[in-house]
Amino acid sequence: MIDESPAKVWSDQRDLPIYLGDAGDGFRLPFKERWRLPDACAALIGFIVTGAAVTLNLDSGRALLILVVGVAVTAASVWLLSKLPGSRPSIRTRFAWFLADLRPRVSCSHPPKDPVRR
Amino acid sequence: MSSTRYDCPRAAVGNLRFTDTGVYADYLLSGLPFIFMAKDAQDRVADVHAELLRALPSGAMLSGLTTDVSTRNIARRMVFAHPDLHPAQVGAGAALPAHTRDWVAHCRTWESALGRRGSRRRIYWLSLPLDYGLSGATATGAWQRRLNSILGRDRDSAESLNRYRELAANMVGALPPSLFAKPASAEQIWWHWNYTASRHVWRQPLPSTPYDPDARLPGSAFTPVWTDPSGAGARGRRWRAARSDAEVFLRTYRDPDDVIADSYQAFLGIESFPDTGVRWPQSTLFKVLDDLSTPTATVDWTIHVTFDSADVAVATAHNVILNIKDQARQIGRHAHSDDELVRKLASGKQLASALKRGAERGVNAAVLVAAAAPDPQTVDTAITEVIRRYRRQGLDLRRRRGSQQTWWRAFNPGTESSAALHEIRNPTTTAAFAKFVPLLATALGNNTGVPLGETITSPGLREVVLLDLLNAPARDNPGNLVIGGSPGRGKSQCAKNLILSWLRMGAGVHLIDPTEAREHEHALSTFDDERKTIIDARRPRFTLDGLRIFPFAEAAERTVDHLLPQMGFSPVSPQAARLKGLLAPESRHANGIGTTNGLITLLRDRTRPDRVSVDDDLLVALEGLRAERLLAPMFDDTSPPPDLSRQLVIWNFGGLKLPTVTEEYQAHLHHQSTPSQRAAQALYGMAAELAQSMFFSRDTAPDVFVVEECAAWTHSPGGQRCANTLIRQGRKAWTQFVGISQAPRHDFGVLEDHFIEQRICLGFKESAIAEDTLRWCGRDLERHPKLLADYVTNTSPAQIMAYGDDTIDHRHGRVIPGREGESWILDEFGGWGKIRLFSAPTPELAQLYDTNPYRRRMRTGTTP
Repeated sequence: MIDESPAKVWSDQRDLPIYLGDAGDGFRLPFKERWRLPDACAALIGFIVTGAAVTLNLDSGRALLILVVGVAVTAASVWLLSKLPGSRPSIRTRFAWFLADLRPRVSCSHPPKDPVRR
Repeated sequence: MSSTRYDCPRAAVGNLRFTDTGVYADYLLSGLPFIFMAKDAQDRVADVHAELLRALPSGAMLSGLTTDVSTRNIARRMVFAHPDLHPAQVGAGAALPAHTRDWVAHCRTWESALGRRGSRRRIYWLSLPLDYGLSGATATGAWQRRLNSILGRDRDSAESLNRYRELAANMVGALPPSLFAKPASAEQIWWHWNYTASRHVWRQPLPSTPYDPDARLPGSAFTPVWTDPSGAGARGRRWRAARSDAEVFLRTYRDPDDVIADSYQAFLGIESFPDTGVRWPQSTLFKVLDDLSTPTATVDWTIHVTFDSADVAVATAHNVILNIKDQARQIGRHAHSDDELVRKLASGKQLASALKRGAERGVNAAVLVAAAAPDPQTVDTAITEVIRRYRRQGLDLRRRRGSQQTWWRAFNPGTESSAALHEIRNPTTTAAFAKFVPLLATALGNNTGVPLGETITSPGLREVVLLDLLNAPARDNPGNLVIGGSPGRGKSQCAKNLILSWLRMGAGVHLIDPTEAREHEHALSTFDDERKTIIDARRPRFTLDGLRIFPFAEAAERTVDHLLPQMGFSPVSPQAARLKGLLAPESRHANGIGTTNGLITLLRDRTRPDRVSVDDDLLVALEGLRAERLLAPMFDDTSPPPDLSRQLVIWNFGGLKLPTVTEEYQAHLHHQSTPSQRAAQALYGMAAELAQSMFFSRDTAPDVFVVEECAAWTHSPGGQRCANTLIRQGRKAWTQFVGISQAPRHDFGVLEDHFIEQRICLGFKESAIAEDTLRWCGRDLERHPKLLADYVTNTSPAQIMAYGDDTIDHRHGRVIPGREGESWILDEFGGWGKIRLFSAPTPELAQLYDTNPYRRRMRTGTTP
């Protein structure tokens, strides 16, 4: 039995950007309000690597420089990764299409060794 | 894109398509009439689609493709409309019966006219994956497929073939019967590959080879196709193939030996649908693509569906709801700055609720659109229009650079698994997705028949409409047709084409033409004189004496019926009784009454011993009628009777005026009707009675009774009686009725018009009559207000230009060239749609059909 409800596809249910930042127990990630996985990972990795590099180079005299560069690289990475699109197509597909467009290749339906393909 | 895999089928066996990634069963589905139908009919169509979604296996692909229609096939369908040329009766290679040659020759005269039309139609192609078991590409099915692969089962052994066939039969057996799923033949699978590879430029019609389960085509039959993104290879671009949206397309090309031009194809996935849905029944998204198809561009679509069980679908929807709620917390105060999450939450709850309420499986649909043309500019124009039209409805489609080779794979069974369909796959329910009703029938009319016109609902999908009125009784349907429209819109042109075709097919035709122009006599002047009789009320050449032209046994009754109203006597009067007595067969035999004049002579004889007083009344009345100029043929005993057994009988009643039903049934008006009106009534009545009597006596031959401008006839009491008999009982005597009218409801609403199933409605100048006609055809104008607007303003519209200058423009006020003869048709099976009626197939016939005095003067150069 058909009612008068509209024809519908719930496309909005597949495009939900996932944000992190609130652990639910009152802890919130600092610096930014809207963290997503790639930029959160970049921040975490940047923090650990910069911290480790500074610790290891405390006596080398370049610790400050390493700290400044590390913070700058981490901040740039976080900023760049936060620009990644959060909705579909996925990053992987976008990258594949980007490459396909960047370096176009003619493709054949038959493998190169097929005798039909001349 | 693997270099070791084939994208094309590796073999086709019957309707089974073997590819490197799996085996598919291919079917053709029939569309369903939907556009401008009544609510219950449209609801039924949605129900069928919902049923289809409940029955399809996961991973099924449904595509809407277009195919050219071969003129030869149309001509063939015309030829087989002849009752004696049914394929079952004429064996292959057998000579055609001699009496059908006229018809075959007539079909040939149409062939070139039809060839110029470039007919194309939408077909629906269903591919079912067979490697996963009955429920299709589900998680369980995927395990079964892996197991088969590990066990190394041979895919095309006899055992496997039988298993695949059985599985396919089970899958398709569950589909709704009204879609008439038909297995594709191996040749059709071959056609499908070439179509997909070279969309639009591959112009071979879909092969009509019947399905043979054992027919095989090897992999070598499927020749290669090369895909060149944005035509970069052809343009020598090594970097950045698409540098603008207009360059997001795919050039496909074939081996030079295949002699197929390059095809330019652009693909789009429908990425998002409006949150509020698309209002039913305006939700025919796929019909939009039919409308956007043009002769220079093809627009197709494909739907790839996977299904989740109700539990899984509900659990997924609940997870999304939880995520949304979580996100509202994660983004903190931003959650309150826009309503996106609120809308998503409401939408998610609605989906979960719909899934739980229906307790049905979840549908995950990926919808793609393809446009193709012979050059990049045309394909860009076509796809841009698709995007524009869809955005108007709230759908989002984007031209994504680098995506075209991937999307192309979505249209080809066997490569769709690597077509990134997950990027555009979205959840829905069977009931909600069914309302997009992709499987719509655009065809109108009959499978075989005489040419009537072409469908014009979609500019690029014009299909020839055949009308098989003569064989309607064979299908247990009444063969009655009404052609309505304002003067000059093409009613008579249409009727003339049909009549000539029926005559060539061997049908008997009796035609009443009340026009002064005697246009049918002129139009049919090339029809063999030996096979036609023309009776002209104003130029009598034949006697119409009832006692001479009706069979002896029926003559008295029919003559009395026609004479009494003219004489002014009631059927139960003493005069009527006396007249019947005198004309009884025994009395006629005994008194030697062979003609009506003979009866007058007898009545004048006062010496007869059996003479009674009412004989004087009869004598006076009959002598009065004999003096009436129009009735002279009814008292003519010198001219020969007309040969009414000839194939064509034209009754020219130009200028005769009939009394109306009101005038006839209201005493004071009855007495005011003029003698010539009564005479006309007698002549009309006689013509119709003769036709009916003749047709009903030969019930194994098709006959058609045509009444041009039948307002007067259907509004006269005798006409109504006769018309009702013809339309109600004609089916049993293989008699068809065709009425032509300027106000169909007014003229046929007085009859038992539910027997008139077929109606052709041309344009009306008065919108009130147009609206009335649409309602008479059962259209629900409250549900489809656009139909009335289109009918009134866009059916053969005239050009009324107002440029503000004083240029003399002869086009002013005329129908826009190329839009003549537009009409709406209600066919034998309830199908409704807009068509353009065909004009005459040859210039010679066009000249004969044309009754416009201005054009005649221009043609002949005659000046006063």
